[in-house]
Amino acid sequence: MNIKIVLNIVSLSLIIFSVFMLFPIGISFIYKTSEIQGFLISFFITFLTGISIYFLTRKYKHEELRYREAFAGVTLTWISVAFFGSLPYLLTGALGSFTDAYFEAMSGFTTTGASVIANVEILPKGILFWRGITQWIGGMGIVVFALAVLPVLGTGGMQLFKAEVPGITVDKIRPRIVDTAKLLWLIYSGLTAIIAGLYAFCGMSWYDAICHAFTTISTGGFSTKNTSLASFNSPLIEYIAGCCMLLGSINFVLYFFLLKGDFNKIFKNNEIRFYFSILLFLILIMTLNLKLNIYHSLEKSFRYTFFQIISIITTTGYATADYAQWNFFAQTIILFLMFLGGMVGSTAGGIKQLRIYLMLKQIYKEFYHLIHPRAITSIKINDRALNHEILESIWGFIFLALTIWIISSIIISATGLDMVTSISTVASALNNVGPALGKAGPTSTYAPFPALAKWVLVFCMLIGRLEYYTVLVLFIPAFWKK
Amino acid sequence: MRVIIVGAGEVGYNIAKFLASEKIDIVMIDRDGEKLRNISEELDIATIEGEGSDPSVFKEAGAKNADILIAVTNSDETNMIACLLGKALFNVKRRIARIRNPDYFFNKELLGKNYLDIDPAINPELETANAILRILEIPFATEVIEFEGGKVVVAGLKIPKQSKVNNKELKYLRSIINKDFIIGIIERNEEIIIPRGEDVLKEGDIIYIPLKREEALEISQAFGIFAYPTKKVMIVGGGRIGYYIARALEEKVDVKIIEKNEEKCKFLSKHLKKSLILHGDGTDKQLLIEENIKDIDAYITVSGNDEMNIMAALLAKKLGAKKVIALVNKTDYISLAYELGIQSVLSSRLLTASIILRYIRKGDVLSLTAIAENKVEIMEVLGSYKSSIINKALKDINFPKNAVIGAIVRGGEIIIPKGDDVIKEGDKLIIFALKDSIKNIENLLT
Repeated sequence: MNIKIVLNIVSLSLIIFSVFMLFPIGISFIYKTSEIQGFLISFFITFLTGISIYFLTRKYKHEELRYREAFAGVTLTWISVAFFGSLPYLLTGALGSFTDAYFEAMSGFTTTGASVIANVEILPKGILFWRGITQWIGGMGIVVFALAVLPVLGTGGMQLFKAEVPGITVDKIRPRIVDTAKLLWLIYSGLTAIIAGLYAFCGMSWYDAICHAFTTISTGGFSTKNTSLASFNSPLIEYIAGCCMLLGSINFVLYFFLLKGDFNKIFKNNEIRFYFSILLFLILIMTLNLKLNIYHSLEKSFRYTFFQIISIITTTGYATADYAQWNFFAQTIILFLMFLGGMVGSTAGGIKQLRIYLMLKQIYKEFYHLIHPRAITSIKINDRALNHEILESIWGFIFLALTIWIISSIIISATGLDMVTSISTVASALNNVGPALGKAGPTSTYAPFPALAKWVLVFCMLIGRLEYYTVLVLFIPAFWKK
Repeated sequence: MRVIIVGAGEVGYNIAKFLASEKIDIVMIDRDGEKLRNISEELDIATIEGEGSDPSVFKEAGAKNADILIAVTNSDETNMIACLLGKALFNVKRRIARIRNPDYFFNKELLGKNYLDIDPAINPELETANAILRILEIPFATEVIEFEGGKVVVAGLKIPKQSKVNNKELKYLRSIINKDFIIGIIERNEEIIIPRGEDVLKEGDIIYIPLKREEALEISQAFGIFAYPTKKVMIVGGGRIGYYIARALEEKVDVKIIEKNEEKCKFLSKHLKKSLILHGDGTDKQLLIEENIKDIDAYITVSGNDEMNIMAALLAKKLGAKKVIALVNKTDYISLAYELGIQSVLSSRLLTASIILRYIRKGDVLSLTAIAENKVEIMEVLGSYKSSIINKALKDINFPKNAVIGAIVRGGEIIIPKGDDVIKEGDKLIIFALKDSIKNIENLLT
């Protein structure tokens, strides 16, 4: 492996990333708050680090970039972006300990939305804006952003793209990967603007609207309010937010078809049909459950269900109700819902609908073969047959996800946390949801957790966001062999 | 620009590889998903698994916005249908196809404007045969590219062991060889060197020089390369390439063809007039000795089997054939074959790819040939009034670093470019360009 290429990728990402640190300075300037200095120092540290690594490694940029370098480069980029992203929290005094700051930063970039801050409303506006920006960058991915703006990364771009963008196969919406990255970021930015406009129209201040638009489209879940979206006390905002979270969890390729006017491809997409059927079914069940057992008002039950089911399945993690207080039936559904996630090619985490859909089809096929042992079948997605290797890799993926979940839950419980909290926080971190159950429900924070538990969760968030393989392959001895 | 390539074989792959480095949108169609996956791992292109004759596949590939359609599958019929579809349903501006079968290829009516309208159709076997014929005409060269109807050539010369230029710096070359010429590029073990005064020539280097045809022999001899006029030729492999070569040569020189397959031998004996057709194996030492291999000026191996072509050429060389030329289609073998001492190594796939590339260039490019495993392009361009380089001294032109103006052709005469020379309208420039500088050159010219 060529470590210089890896560092070159990291340095380019850091230089671009440092520019984002200038936006909160603008906010601080407008609202005349005092954290400008902290952001400026963070900016310079990040920028200078990036530039100096770049100059030390710049001669190597044209060398051939292979998958190994791409995996290591993307992983290291994420680890270091979270490190430098934690500087503003420390340097403005928003958070005292490095563990807490790194946890908050990683939770932001991975669009998890788990927080160690109990009272966000007392924090300066610049810091809250920064929290929103971290999720916005992380939603589409910093390396993909670097690909879109730096032609230097064009060679080997495919490998980098694959390493950062979750999915089963790469859907190139343009023949060249750089154009694909540009178009994705354009669609993403466009959706963000639309959502911000909608929020402002529904009565949020522009500041709140933009911050929430950042964390909605990225399915992140950070809020500028202590009680998340409930604090606006507006059913309209809750319904709008529910719909907007859905937007973030839809495969972005479909927006491309929408722009082209190719509606047939959207309506006939197997994954979106499966996804919406599941949603509809779950909303029905949960509304019924809440109506009968908890709220007794149909409107309220439906509203909370609609918002909460979408918030969890899209792995956003906004809350309007404290579902940790709902009955066990509801809590069990919520726990397993975290694993479903949104569609592939979206900003959502989780196993993703397409994988679940294909595995169910595969299971059906197994039954079919019991009845017709000599039948030759193939599994299709959008009328296209998939080859066997892809299906096998999905089995591997799901089993890996469950294995990591079990092992991490056991480690977390060793720090003294109860079982519900342990398994739900790990599930929440792996799938980039945010709030969990038990001691980490929507109204609590991760602040009182032991440091070891926080670091395990940080690791879980990272491997979950990069879909396990990109990070975990670095732990395979064969990866380091020459 | 959007280019659709039908067929993910060696030709399709090489074209895609070349174009992908130039910010051209490429969509490749093939029925073999595995092949496409391997290519898309390496190249930044879009791929679609499907039939090259299926309109819905074309639609998905964005054929409506495509500028060029290149059909290079193994099947002539698929290639023709693909071009027809491109023309009739999607109005693709230019359609290029590989057509092998001589019945189709020589049927100008079928391929012409009124019917399929394929522009151009490329016959790899015929192109390969022509390339070999060019080498035979200038036997001291490893490769010959013709310009101006053959009056000007770019010759590839391999520096022999006994050459007096070995280990000499280029700036002293003029004092060793008292001739006016310029070296375009140097190819050394798969590496391309843009020559500078300090560079040193080594044994085995292949240098590419633009020359007037009548001076070619003299200059190559000055480099210590001696060659014999081709009088006796032996061809191994009586396929289409062998047949085309024999047909072109048999009136002027002595041709022998060795072919394993008896049916093919019979076909050849029916269709060729003077050639001697031998039923046998090109790697059969006894046969070669019996047929006086020592006196053979050029031993050409053009069977369908790369390994066999290389081995037969080596054997013939050892037995005394003066020049051996081998057809090697597998790209990985080409530099290996050169290293083993085969004087000329040709690949019909690379040749086809390089010919197709010629039609994709814009600006006033008159002709274009890719050499050195397609790493370098030799372009012949017309100095037009639109171009920003016209009426300027060469030293004032901000010419890309990885490109060399090898010659200015003015009224059939070669001018060896110097800093003070001014490019005039109507001049033709022969430019050697590495891949990464081609975009810049195109911008300079338009």
